[in-house]
Amino acid sequence: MTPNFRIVAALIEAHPNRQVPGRARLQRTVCLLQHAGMPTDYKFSIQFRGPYSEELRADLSVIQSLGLGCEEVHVGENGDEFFVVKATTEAKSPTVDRFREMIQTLAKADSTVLELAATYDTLRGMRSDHADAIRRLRSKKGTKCDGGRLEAALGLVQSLDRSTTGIALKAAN
Amino acid sequence: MPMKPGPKLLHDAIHRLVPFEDNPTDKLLLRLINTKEFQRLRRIKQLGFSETVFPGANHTRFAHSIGVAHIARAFLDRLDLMLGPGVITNGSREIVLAGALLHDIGHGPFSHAFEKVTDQDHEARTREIVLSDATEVHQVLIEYDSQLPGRVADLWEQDPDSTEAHLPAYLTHIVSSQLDADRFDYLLRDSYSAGVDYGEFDYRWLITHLSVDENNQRLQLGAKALFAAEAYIFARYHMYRTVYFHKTTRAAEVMFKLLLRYFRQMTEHGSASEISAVAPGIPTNFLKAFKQDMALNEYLTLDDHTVTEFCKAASESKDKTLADLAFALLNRRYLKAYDLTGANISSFDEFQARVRELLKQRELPQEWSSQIDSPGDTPYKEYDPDSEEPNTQIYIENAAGVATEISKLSEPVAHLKKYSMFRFYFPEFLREEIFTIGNETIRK
Repeated sequence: MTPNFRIVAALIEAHPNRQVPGRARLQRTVCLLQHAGMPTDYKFSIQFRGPYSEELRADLSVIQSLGLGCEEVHVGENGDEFFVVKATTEAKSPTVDRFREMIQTLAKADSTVLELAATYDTLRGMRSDHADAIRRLRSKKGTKCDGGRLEAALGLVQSLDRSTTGIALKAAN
Repeated sequence: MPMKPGPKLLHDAIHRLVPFEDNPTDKLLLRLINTKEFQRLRRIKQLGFSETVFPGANHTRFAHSIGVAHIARAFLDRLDLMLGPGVITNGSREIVLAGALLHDIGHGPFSHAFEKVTDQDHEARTREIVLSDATEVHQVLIEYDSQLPGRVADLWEQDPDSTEAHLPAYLTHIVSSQLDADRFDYLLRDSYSAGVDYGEFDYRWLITHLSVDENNQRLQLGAKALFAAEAYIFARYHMYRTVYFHKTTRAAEVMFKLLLRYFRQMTEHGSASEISAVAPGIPTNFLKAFKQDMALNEYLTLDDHTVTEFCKAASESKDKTLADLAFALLNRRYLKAYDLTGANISSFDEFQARVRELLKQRELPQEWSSQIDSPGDTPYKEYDPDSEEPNTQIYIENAAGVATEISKLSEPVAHLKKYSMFRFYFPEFLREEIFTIGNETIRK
């Protein structure tokens, strides 16, 4: 079995410029891909900004110590600092080949849409049906669901479902 | 004149006496404790396999949950004093205390290892237990107040910044933050039961210096609490390094996961009767745990005893891999650890390739006889807008009386970073070969 950190390093490497802009973004991406069949086994719990795994956060230390990647502090347009998670070329691995299309799709997604999609998907995995997951999502996220973002998030989950990997996802409806 | 009834008192190893007074809130808590779902927590150990290293660490989630409610009550009493009467309404108090008491109600046996393999999720089960009208917990809550089940469930789930939140954020932080009643109790209790002193800190001093920053809706500590807060953060750090991530405890967890994964694979490929033929006596409720649609009433029959019975039955199985894993787990014949700290990717790859070759030579199935393990923790999370939980830091008044995040005031805390252990687990009879490979690759 390939260790989780090896798969995550390869996933980061498969992103544009071999980097993921934000730790939270990485958490959401791994969560969605794991639900889509990526062979990691992180345990995610729903935090205030979406699904989160302490094990994944810890694996970033392993990735760094092995020389497969690093984290850099960047400053956003609003002045807030955020971490860019980068991979080296050595992180490349065929393990994530069948997820490359999904990775590109998720890399293009708006950060809030990604948060909503990952939270929705996690709620579905936690025994909520579609209607209950939507109700809980609206209750938790409030205005983040407005402006077409909720619909975009559901579309994102469905687009993963329709991707060409041949992996069957549960339908969003 | 009839005497007012005295409080009901529970003896507790950590808090000595936990009183329940003759008032509606405490009566509610007592009724919740007496539900069958809460009583089930007597049969679930708080620390899972830790007792195989620390023999006294066999305390239960039952005792811990009562301890959390007791500490949450001390938080609330302190805030009442600081804010004045009536600010924390009775309705809010019940939500926080019931939430504190019930926060672990959905845990299964050996929770974290069990959940990773079975698709069960204790947070989802906790919510279900509170909201399902089939549970005694729900009945007790709803008889008290028809809104209470929903409000308690939302306490764990809702973003405290949400406009729909029922409680001020500082009250939800009593149940879930980096300065919460859960951490206070588990550090003290786990430390005491394990027989180590690392988890101790002056929690009474912290509570006595607690107040509320009303502008920012968060808890804060007075300046005199700085060193107690440092000790609290380091207590957590030391408990993780010495107890929770102990290499032998992790070995047991690694083996338990291997055993469950192997068994899961059997359940996916065989019918119940076929499994019964290979491994007679496996508890039927345990078989169902591998299905996500396991009904709540069936889930609530799972406890540590179910796992022990499963291991006993599996150790007698005709399937050698299943029997060996179960026997080893029951009788503490755990895999051994080789520390991979300091490896780089090329030495790690070389190590793995040579180990793979060794296991092949010995005709051992690599998937079921060895495992990489990389547990890690972040002892204290500084403010980070990119984080999933950016608003749960510890704030302390500085010399000018301004609430400041603790890592800006304390150099030791600022230096505490996230860390990982990095270990390879293997069968003991390969010790010499594995250490030779390690010395020639990782440590060369």
